[in-house]
Amino acid sequence: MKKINNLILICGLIFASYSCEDAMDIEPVGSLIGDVTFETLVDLQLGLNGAYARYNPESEILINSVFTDNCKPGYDNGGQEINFYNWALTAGDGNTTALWNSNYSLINQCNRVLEAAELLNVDASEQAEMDNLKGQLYTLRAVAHLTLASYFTTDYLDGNALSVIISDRVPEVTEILPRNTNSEIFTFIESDLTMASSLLAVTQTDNKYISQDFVTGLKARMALLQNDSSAIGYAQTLIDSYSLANQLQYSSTFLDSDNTEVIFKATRTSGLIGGLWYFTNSAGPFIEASNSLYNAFDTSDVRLTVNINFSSNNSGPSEPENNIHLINKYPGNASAFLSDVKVMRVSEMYLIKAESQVTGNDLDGAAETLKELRDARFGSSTALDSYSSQAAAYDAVLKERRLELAFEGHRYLDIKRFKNRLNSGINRDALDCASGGNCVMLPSDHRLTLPIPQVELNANSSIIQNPGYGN
Amino acid sequence: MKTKFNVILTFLLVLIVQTSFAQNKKVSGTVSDNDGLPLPGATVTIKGTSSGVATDFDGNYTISAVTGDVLLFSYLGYASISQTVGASNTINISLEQDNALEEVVIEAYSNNTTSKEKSTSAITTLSAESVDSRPNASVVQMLQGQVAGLNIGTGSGQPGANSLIILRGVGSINGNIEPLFIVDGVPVDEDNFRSINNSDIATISILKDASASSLYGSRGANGAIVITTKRGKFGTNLQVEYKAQTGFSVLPSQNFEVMNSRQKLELDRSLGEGLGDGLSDNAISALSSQINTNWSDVFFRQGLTNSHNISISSGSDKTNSYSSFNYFEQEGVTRRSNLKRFSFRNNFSGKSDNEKFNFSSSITANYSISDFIQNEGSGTLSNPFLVPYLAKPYFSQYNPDGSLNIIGSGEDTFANTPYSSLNNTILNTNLQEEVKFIGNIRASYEIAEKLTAGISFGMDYTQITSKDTESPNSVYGQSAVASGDAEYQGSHFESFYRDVRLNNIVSLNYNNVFDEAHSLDLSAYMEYSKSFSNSFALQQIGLNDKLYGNGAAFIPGDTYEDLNEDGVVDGAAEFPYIPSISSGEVAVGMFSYFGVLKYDYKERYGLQSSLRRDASSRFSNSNKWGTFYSVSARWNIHNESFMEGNTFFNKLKLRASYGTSGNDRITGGYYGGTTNTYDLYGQGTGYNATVAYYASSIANKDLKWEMSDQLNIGVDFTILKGKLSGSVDVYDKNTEDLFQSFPISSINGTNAIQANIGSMNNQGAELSLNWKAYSSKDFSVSIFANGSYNKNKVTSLPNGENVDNGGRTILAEDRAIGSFFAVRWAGVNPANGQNLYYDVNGDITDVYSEDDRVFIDKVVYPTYQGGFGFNSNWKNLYLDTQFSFVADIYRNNGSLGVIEDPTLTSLANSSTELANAWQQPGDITNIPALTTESIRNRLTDRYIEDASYLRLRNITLGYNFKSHLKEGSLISDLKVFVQAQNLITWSKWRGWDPESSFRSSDFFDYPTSKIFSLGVDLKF
Repeated sequence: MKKINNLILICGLIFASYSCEDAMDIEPVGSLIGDVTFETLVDLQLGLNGAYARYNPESEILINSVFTDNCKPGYDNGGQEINFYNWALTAGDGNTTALWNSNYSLINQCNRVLEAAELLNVDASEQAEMDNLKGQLYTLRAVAHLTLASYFTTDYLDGNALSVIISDRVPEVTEILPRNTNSEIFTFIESDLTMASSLLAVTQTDNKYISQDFVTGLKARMALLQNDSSAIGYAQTLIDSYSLANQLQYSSTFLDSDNTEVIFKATRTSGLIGGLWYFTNSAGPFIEASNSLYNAFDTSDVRLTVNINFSSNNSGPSEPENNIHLINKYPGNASAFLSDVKVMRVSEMYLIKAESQVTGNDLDGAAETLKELRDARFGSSTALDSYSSQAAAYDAVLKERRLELAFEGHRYLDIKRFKNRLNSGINRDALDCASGGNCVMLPSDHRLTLPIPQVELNANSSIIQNPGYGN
Repeated sequence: MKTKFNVILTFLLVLIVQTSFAQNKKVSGTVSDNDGLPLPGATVTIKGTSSGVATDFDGNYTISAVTGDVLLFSYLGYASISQTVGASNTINISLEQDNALEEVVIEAYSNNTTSKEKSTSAITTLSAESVDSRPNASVVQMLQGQVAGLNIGTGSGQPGANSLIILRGVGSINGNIEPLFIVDGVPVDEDNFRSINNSDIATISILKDASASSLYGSRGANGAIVITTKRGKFGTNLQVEYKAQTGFSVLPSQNFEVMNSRQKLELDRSLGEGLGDGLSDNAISALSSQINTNWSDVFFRQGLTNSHNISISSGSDKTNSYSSFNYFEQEGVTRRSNLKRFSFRNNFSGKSDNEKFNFSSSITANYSISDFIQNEGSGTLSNPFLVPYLAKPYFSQYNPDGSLNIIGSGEDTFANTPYSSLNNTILNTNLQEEVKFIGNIRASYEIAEKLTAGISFGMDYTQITSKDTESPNSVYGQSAVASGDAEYQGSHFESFYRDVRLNNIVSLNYNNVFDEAHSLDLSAYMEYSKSFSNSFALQQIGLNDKLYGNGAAFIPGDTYEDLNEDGVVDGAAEFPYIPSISSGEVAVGMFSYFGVLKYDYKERYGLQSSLRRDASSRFSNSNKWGTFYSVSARWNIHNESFMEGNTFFNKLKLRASYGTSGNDRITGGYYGGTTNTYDLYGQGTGYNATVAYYASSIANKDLKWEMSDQLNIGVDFTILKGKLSGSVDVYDKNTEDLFQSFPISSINGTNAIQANIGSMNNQGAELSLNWKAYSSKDFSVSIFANGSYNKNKVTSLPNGENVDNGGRTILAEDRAIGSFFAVRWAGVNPANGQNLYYDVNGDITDVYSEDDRVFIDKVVYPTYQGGFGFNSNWKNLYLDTQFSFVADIYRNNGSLGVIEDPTLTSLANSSTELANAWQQPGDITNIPALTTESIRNRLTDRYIEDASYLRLRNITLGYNFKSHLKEGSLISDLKVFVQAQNLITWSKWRGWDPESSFRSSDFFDYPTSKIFSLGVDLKF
């Protein structure tokens, strides 16, 4: 019996040797507690790397292509993006939610790193690097706000119209912030961009990262939204420092082997952008370019083959006679469908300049500006337009933007910006909407402004939804 | 019943006693039951002597006795009767059934069983027969329909597939909803039963109410299922048992129809697309007579099932043991799907000479290999269950040389649907190997009179290695490397996962009876649990096809490929063969102490109460500890003096319990939700192939236990002279502080954090009945039935608002969890063939808008559930059946939506229903014009179908050879039987299988199969 008594004693000791804390207090492994994350400039750089990674222009490219007249369902479509193509747009829409979330998540990341930067004292020798780092964060924060503002306000020209929420700090989880107005948003973005201009290193010219030029281009974009003639000046600054690509360079631009006119591109080492429209394994297209876009290209325009695939790669060539038009803007560089996202090219500055010229009623100036761009794309001198009215000139600008910026995330916003100027919404070719019957969206349609996503409405009682979305 | 009868017979034959020498006179007669049916094998003994005889098969006996001797007539299950021998030489006796055979229940943490009489809790205990000898790799799946209130949803026909187990309704929104499982005292993973040998199981107890489950405190909120395995008995001879089964599985019947070649070609022609476009009638006839492939025949098969089980048990005075070995293999009904398993078990018990020290061990080690199909339940083309819906019938399954065509066009496109799936199934693998070990060692010692100390160590060890490979020559593998131009293709994914759950309990128990009336049982426990999961995985893309299948095939990561042929190294993209690896670990733990008090007064009144404190590693310091308690009482009315002389009730017991329990599994998973109380950053891939920091968790320091309380009132009764027994229970269960993702503004970088918000209620009633309907010497029938009703209601939500994530179901106050919220589809407009809907006011509209969604009073979870059946035997033949049903349950039929989608006719085969599509004004039909848009992904109720079913889950016909076996022969018992599982299913569901794991939508899921088997049970 003694043996057994001893055994029990041993068991008791084994038990006592576990402390109860051992079972109760377990810290998660593999993560960093907030306070120790950003302790050095290198840590901040890792935070900035995260911010860049959260910049997701792909979500814009999807919306601007599938929702508009630039796309139609592809021959391999088994339901992918069909509801969105058919304009079933509600507050629960996934693409809208992704756009909203990805931009606020970028803003949140910027705010976290910016706040950490404020708490970090660096040597004088590191100050320039620190400034450049902060400049990039301010720019990214501005980009995200500007992106959101473009999609979610009803009227760019009404300073009192509701825009999106300004987020200039890491919020408490309980914070409920209402939508700001357009003028508040534009003021905020402008101040971020001004701050960025003062901080960014002028020596930073790698177009995979944010530069002073990109900031200038953003100022041009924002001025354009507000019909502000300063857009011409900003655009001209960039036109003066970047030349337009010739036809060969232009083709190479989209193979990522030429940077002549690229001001900023979001480089990609993974995440196949072609996956927006293709099953990337088989290259089967579930979304294709529309007949209406294909028909808009002249055969001698280099943009035809840049946008529509006539090579034998990636399921090509297209067969327009059989209603097959394969999107070719992101054919891939080293890997199929893996391409950098060209966020800003100088050709856009020509178009901004031309549009501002039309707004300023300089119709001949606008025609000259468009001709410069067109000449480069046709590789020969093209006829100079002559516009009978401001509306005709706007129409020419919009058409040129469509050709130049197809699949780069502009078409929906352009239609939205021009809808009152031209009294026109989305007009699809009958062939493109054969399956669904959704061919025409009137300029007055509420869906030319996106709904504030349901996820935000669920959390934020102060949000006023845009008109037409169940309110 | 049949087994009981046989067992009794066996038992008594063994106990035949020698007759005495004194031979004064012979007394004879018949022993019968109170219906006059003879009782074979009843014993007749002379009181005070060892003399006795047994009755023969007609209940007759003859015994030598002297006048004045007292004869004692006894029969197991009947009250014994004494009769003094008088002048007559004939004594006929009728025995009354009694209920001396006490049913027992297993209670939490108790080493011993408690008699059902003394239990204050709502516990259902099943015996081995309910799961034994069934050709199913999962113990849990066999419980469906056997216990009132226990709902097992099996969503896959993969052998050994996991099931979703719900006891008394869904009790949490995001947290764990499955009951706690205990095997031989060890808490085990509730999602993994494929490795447990069902022949080893002795009892399964389902602890439903708070008095039973609150002992498990934080883990008992969803009830508990306590499984014990077979053990040897002290002082018994060696017993060897061999069981074998062989059989096959087939796919259940298909309750939908797709087009054959002719129909599809004609549809093609009418739509001007596909192969049939522009063909003449003759051409269509020729083509369709040439090729008309039924793709089900190509993909599905009869899967074989085999099992062998040997068990050996023995016992000496102080030790006993039970050992078993099991081999089980089962093929699924589709290619590649299978499970093979080896199980070993040893259970050992012993005690010291003075019986103060007791110890036991229960150890099982198992090894299984499962091969899975690819992408089960998804729209990916490799999913074999998608093929019979979508593959076109005018494609041939054969190459010109007659071999099976597994290439087609060689592309992963819709047009190549059947071929790429076959290709993947045949060339690629998706394999899991599992080692599972469950061990428990416990000991107790009576340190002083009435005072016992105990200790128990347990471990549940699971190790899973997975291998998922795509051959470089397969349709999928040939483009595995991002660029199709890379020289080497194919992929090889391997992962290792280890899950170790340790559990240690020390206890002190005091047990005493005062004044022969008051019995008191006091226990105190301390429990320590800690669990670790580790995993790592690697993926190599780029394999040498000659060495495909193992690591030797891996192409070195530093191999350069000039993919765009520009002669320049373009960074990482041109090193496509760099493998990716990952590794992770998580630990969770809990520390608890608790006490239980049981009191009984003369088996009339009983009281039990418990108090438990748990500390979970998941919560911050201030919320770590949760306190749980329960109180329960019983009144055994039939033991009251005023019930004496009552002939109606043989038993009547009233029970009531109230108690609380908790849940710390915030996100449901055992290892989930460990970071929710921390603000954390994690490292990840940054922009331009850099390293980055991201916020990975926003803390909610207030997070605390999800608490539930439950009131249960029940009655157990036995009436009609013991022939009808049953239980009725009603309950009311509330869950407070529900774990929910609480919506937060996107400015936080995420849309939700985990918080304790909202509450939920489940109310229900359960009934179970057992009726010994008829019993005679040659024929007996007993009938059993159980059923339950459960009403779930979400009682409060964040800000009182609906939680709408854009899915088919939403959460709303005063609605059940899983309530469908849909736009009501109003059919097809006869004027133009377009879809019509009801708007929110019930008016017909042709515009679809999600704003017109309403509650349609259909829910994902069933309101009614239950089962019934009978056990019967006629002479040596026996026939047992078991049915199960669920009712008032709905699901979206996504698979059907695809074959009725008018926009997919060119890509895939179609439902024969499309022949009824609207064609001209005035057509009245349910199928819209084929020019209309696709609406299957819209949130309408068009495909929300009634998934109620009644299923003949098990039917067994057998013959027992026992009576033909000579006493003393090698074989002591022999049974042969044929069995069918899921033989017949009655349901409106338009698919293969109405059963699911309570999904809201089906999409090409793997149906549970019908299994036919032949079995033999041998005892030596």
